Amino acid sequence: MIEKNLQNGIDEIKKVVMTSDEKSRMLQNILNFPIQKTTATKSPWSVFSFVSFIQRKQSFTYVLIPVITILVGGGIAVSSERSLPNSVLYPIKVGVLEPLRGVLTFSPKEKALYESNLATKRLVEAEILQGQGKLDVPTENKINILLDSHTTSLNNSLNDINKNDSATAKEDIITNFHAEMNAHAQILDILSGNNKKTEVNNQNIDSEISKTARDNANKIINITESNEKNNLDKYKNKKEAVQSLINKTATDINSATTDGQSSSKKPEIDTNSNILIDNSSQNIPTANSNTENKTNPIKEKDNNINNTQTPSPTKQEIIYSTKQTLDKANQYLKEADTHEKNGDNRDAYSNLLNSESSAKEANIFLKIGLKLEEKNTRENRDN
Amino acid sequence: MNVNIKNKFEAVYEVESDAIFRFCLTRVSNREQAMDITQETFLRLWQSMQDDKEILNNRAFIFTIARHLIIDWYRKKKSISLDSLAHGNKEEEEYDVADNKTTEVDLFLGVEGRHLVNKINELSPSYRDPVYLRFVEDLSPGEIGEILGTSANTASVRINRGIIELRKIAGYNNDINKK
Repeated sequence: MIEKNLQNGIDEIKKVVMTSDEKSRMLQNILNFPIQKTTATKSPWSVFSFVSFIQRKQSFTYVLIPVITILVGGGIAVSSERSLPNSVLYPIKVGVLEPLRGVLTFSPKEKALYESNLATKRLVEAEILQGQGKLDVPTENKINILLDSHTTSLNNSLNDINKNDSATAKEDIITNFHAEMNAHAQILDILSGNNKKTEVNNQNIDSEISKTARDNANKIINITESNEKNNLDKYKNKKEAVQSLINKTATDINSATTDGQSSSKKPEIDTNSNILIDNSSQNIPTANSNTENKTNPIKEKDNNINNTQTPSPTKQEIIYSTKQTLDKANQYLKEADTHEKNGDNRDAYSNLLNSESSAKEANIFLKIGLKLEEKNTRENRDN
Repeated sequence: MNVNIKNKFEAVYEVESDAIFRFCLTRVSNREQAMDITQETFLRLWQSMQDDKEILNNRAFIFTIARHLIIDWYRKKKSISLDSLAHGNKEEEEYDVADNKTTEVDLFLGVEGRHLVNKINELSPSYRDPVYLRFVEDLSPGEIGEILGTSANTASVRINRGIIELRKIAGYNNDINKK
């Protein structure tokens, strides 16, 4: 309640109004007033103004913000995808993107394949850094930890694969993993040797990563041995595939050896490889059969090629190492045959898998090694 | 012209025009000037409606405009008065109405109304509008806060302190309950 005087005063003030004439005249004035749409004067530069465009079309903002977010996020994702262990974006790659993709692989087989590929990727990154001379001890440790982690995940995924359903796929993943690990380990050793020979009195020092790679490959191989099959048809098919791979790699070695010769000159090993395909593994040419002295790759090269162009020491080393691995593959194949004849199918298959792994290793090593050598040659020539 | 907008505007005008006029008149103490400001206030509301601008509270919106126009008018008047002092132009002295206390609003009010208006105008500036808008125009503290650009709590505090000050200077009975 308000005191009476105050209330009276308020009531009197409230009685102050406009007359109806004044009100209607004012209303007419307002309604008849020429309303000009209040539009801002357009700047001659507004055509080029992105901000102006956003201001004009505010709905565009709702589209723009997600687009910018996606572009920035995508840009970081793409950039980190190519990053190396010494890069700022590398933790995003190995800590966010790769685990995220791993989560999106649902079957154990896919997961195993993914982890195997990641392990290979780590070795490729190490090779790139080693090639650039930037592989320091902290980076090596980082890659070693990641390699161990990928191998553990691969192992777990392989254990989850149903043995009956995907035995062949599982074997393939394991042999590929073994081959990749060993091949890249060899490449790393070559790169590491090239870098360190110049520093430490020409002594060959193996990379820590290559050791980790070999150790991890051996961890997975142990699992294979308990998962072999005694299926004869499967054995024969696999044997043919392994033989074919050995022959192909042998041909590649020969091509690499005769590289630089005139095209009219027939590669020596091509004839042998044709025989290989037709005959049993006993006729498979080995590195020894093509070389006089296994310990002297340069002399071996001279015997094979009557050419004025001498391959570089790195290339000779690559070819020699590939032949050695191929010899190992042949040796396993022979042992597999022996076991098969003796009726010991389990051991035969085990040796066949080892042979397959070695053949793949030789193939991968030769391809990567030759590419590396080509790159080095090109760089030396450019310099 | 959009008929809906026109109807809406006319409805607001019908309800609020007298309140705005009264508010302007008690501030500028000049009927013609109060009508000009009232017209300008509603013209701006009309323009805003035409431009499809979102107006959440029409009442608070027009009181805010009116208050700003009054402030502008006072600033303009002050500069003219200073100018007239400098040049000795007698014609321009007629703008200095409020200072001379020759208020036209007095002509339309009774004794108690005139007394109340004078006392409200004597209040400190921060209490003047809150007290007037609350007790004469029955605006809520939220609306007053919106007009003054403060929170509802601040407006409420100013109203309470303002009414205490008004009672004191106007000689109203303080024992009676507040509104």
